[in-house]
Amino acid sequence: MKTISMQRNILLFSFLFVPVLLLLMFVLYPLFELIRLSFTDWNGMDAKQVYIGFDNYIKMFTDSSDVWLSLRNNGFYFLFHFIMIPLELAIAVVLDSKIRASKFFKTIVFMPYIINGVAISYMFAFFYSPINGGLNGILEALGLESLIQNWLTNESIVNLSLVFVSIWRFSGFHVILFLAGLQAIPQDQFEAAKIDGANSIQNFWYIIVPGVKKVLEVLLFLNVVGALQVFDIPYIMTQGGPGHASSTFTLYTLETAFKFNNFGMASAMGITMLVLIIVLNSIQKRLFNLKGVDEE
Amino acid sequence: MQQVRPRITRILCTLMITALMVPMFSACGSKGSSDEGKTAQPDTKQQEQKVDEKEPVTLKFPIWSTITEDLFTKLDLVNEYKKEHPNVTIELELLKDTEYENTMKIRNSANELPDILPLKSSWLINFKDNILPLDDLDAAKNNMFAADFKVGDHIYGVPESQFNEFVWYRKSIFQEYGLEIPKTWGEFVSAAKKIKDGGKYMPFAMGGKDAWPNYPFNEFMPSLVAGDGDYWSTMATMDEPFTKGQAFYDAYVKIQELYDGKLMGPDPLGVGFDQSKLMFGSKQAAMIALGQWFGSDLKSMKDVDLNDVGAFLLPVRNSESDPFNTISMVDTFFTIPKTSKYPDEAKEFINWFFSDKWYSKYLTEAQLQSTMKDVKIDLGTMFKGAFDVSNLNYVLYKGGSEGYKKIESAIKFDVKKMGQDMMAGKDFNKMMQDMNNSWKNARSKLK
Repeated sequence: MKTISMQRNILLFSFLFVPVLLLLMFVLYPLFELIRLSFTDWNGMDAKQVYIGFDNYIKMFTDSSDVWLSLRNNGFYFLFHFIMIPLELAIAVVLDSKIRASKFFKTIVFMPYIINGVAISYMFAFFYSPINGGLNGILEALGLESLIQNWLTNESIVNLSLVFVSIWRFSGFHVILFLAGLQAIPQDQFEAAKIDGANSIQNFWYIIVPGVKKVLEVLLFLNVVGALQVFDIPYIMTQGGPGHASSTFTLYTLETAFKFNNFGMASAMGITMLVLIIVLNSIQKRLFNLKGVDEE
Repeated sequence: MQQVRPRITRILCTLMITALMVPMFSACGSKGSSDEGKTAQPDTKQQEQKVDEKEPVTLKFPIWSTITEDLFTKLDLVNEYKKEHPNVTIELELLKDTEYENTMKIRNSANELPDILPLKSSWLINFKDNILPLDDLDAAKNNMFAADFKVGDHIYGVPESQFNEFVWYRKSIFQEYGLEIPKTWGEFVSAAKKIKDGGKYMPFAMGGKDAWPNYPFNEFMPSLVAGDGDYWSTMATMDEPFTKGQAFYDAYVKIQELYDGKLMGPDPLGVGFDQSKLMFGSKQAAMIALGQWFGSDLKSMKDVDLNDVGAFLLPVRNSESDPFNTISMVDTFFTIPKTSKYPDEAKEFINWFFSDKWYSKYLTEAQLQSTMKDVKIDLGTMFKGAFDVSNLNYVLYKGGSEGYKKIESAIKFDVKKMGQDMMAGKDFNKMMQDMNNSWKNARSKLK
């Protein structure tokens, strides 16, 4: 028996050794290193790293208005993706019903998600372009010249233009997630509701919404993470400009590290983002549970 | 079943341990085999020959410009060098210009810098602890500008080329509107306004979306107004350099006038550099402000009538009696990282690169001016008459002192972003006031 348990231990050790080693090397070590660097004034080049306590964290929130501006811009992504969730669920419900060519529509809806993000950003940069740009061209053709805007350079609308691209890209993915959730709802629940005389709104509210609760949780988490980490769309389309008008927290972190050689501060920003994601997600989870959509 | 499980466990154990051990043994094995290879040299003659021959060396040499890559390919740099140094192979690596500095910073943290590291002047300070002093290098001694860019007491880089900043213009458009080459800032703005009023062409192509194309104005004009190429360092000694009467403020008032005049099309911030370049190339725009390097870009563009393109120096002065300050840039400093395995070979390569044989041929092709004493380059017809201005004064542009770099980093001072804000119509006076406050604050903390 001893040999069997020893063999089991050896087996467990052998199987776990490589993944644990990789985890330690590529996840935990960089994380601890990031935490350590966030307490230094390292410029990314010098061998010297002076420990400065919480100075980077204090400076980030008290002495840098652009951090707040960037976080506000992240807020735009979060808010509009959040608003889109009911619509995405509605689209999923429609696609789940027996409509003609639903497979075709499912493919179309999912398509933007599988296109490369950089390509999408370039595509929309040309679409919004003031010179021979598609959007202004369409408005002109429709006789709506008064609506023509500087979509990527007007500070009051640049974030909305970028958020639209983000929604265009990710909504399809959300719809597919909802569809998966919908298909997991047992059909007999709908049949029972039909016998009880439930209408479609009651079906939606009492069967569908509780049925996709798990998907909703995942989506809300993805929304927080995605909104805080949004990078490629503003980086390629506006580089955070004009000025810092469309800069996001990740973009600002990158700029702090590489443009202004302040790796200590950038590390502090990285840790702050990690904390923000954890805090916002737990708040969201609590709020979501309080609503209790499955409390019938 | 009970008998089968331990057997499976045993087999899996053996497999797993074998998998873990294989790389270890294979590593030992490969060393052993290479040693064997070395000892298995039966021919003593060959051995002697090997001692005479130099060890094969590969020098890694990154570049950030496709134009440079094309020129190196056209002039066959790798083989030209190999002819004289058969044991040395130059390994060129093209990196994206916007990512070059970041890539090198990352490689530096991993001790993986290349053997020859070209840098811009403003990056020398950042990399000074990681590169070798080149004071004794012949190429550095014969260079007209290397000593001007010493960091501390040492020369760390040998600049490859010198160039000026120009306003490139369409001769036919200037003729159409009866315009002369402007000699003062006022004449320059008036010329642009006249073209705008004509309604046919965009006076100025500006790729404001990319931020960097506003550098001839937002980055260089404070130095031009001050007549001080090291104006960033001067600013670092002042508490409120964004005050009326100071060169920075005065220069930015002029720039704001240009941006407010809507002389760069309906939305300069919506246009990237590539689009602005095409607009000038296709004669939709009459002017574009860029360095001498743009000449190579123009040559590579199809359907551009080069005879219709001229260049003049950006006039910043208020009257013709003032000195005509113009920026002179030296660029691409050849440095050698301390981590290079072949510093001697790298030094030899730099000396060869700056030798008359290669250097003249290369710069003539690149249409850039020489940084070496005794080497003169013919710039061709595009620049004809560009330097025929009264009171011409060259202002050698520098990237700023260590003190300036600290302030720049502390307040994230970015003139190109400021340029974007100015184009977007932000409140100019508030911007200057805010900058004064941040600057003063940063200085007091850094003291």
